[in-house]
Amino acid sequence: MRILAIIPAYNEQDNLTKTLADLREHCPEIDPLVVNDCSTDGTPELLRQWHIPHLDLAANLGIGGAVQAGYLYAQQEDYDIAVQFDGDGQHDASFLAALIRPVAEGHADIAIGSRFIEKEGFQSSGARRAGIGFLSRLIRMLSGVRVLDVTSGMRAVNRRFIAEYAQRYPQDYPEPEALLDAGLRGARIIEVPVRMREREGGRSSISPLGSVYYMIKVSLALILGRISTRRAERRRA
Amino acid sequence: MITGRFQFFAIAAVVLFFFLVLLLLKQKRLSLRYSLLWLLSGVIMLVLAVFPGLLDRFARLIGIYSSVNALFAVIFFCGLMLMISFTAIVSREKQEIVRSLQRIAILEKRIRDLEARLAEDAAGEAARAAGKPEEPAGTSPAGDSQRREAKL
Repeated sequence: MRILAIIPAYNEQDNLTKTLADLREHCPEIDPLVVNDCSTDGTPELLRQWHIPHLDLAANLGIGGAVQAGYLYAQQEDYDIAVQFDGDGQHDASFLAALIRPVAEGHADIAIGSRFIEKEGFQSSGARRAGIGFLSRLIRMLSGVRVLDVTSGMRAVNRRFIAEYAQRYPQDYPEPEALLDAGLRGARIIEVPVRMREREGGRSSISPLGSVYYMIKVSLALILGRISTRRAERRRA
Repeated sequence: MITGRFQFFAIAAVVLFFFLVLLLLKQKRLSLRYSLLWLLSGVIMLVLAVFPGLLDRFARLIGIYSSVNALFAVIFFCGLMLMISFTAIVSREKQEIVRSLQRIAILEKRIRDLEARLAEDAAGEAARAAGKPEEPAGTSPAGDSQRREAKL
C-alpha cells in the first residue's frame, strides 16, 4: 500500500524540517510531498538543498490549489492513500497511523483528524470553537455528515476521493467545503481523535479580523455547494 | 425628444465604436469570441441611433416618461451584462490557470527526478569506466537522497 503525505507549505522555512523529521520518525513508509505555494522565504532553497520531494507552484494558489496539486500528483502516481498534513508544525505525525488505519482497511473513504473527540491538546480559542461548531452543524444539516472538527487539515483520503479531489477541490478556505462535497457524493467519513499543537513559527492563515469574512464566505460556499451538486451526482457510491 | 443633431452625433459615435472594435479584431488584440458581446451592443446602439422612434416606444412600453432616461436604463443594463460576463470569463480563466500551474509543478518534479536519475547513472558509468567497482546504492548521502526523490 503506497501512501503519500501532501504537505502544503507557504513560508514555512522554520517549521518544515521539523515536520518532515516528525514524519520520517513516526511513519517512514509514507512518501512526503511538500507543495511549495510560491513561498517568499527560504522554503524553496531548503527543499532543494535537502532533496525533499516537492512541487513548486509558480504563483500563490492558496491552500486549496496547493492541496489539489498534491491530489493530482497522488492520482498520477497511482497512490492508494493520500494524507493531508500541515507543514506548520501543528499536526503530530504520531497520530497518522491511527488516522490512516480505517481508510487502509476500507472502513472509510475519508478520515478526519479531530481535536474535539477526546478534547486533548491545543483546542483553539472559544470564539473559534463556536464558529467551527456552527459550521459542523451546518454541514450536518446540508449533507448528513457528522464531523465535529470540520476545519481540521489533517485528513486521510482513499483512491476514489483522491480522484474526486484531483478533479475538483474548493479553493479559498477549502476544508469544510471539501468535507461537504465528499459527503454529498456518498463518502463514508469518520473522525479519528488526534492531538494538535499550537503553531510555533509563522502565522495562521486566518487573522481574527478575517474570521467574520471566513464564516460568511464558508457558510455561503457550503449552501451553494449543496445547491449546485445535482441529485444524480450525490450518492453515486 | 431626440434632436436631429443628437442623432447625428449618436450615429457618429456608434460608427467610431464599430471602427475601434473591428480594428482591435483585425490586429488580433481582441478575440472574436469575446467581441461578439461588443458587436451585439454596437448593433443595439446603431438601431436605436438610426430609429430613435423605437426608443420612444420602448420608453412608453416599460413606463418611463423620458426616452433619454430609457436610453440610460438600456445602457446601464448592457453594462451590467458585460460586467457579469467578464466576471464569468475571469473565473473560468482562473480555474484554467490554477490547473496549468499545478500540472507545470508536477512536470517540473518529473524533470528533476529524471535529471537526478540520469546524473546518478552517469556517475555509475564513469566509475565503471575508471575500473573501480560501482558504489553500492545508498553509500553516498547525496546519491541516496537523489535516488529517494527519483523513486517518489
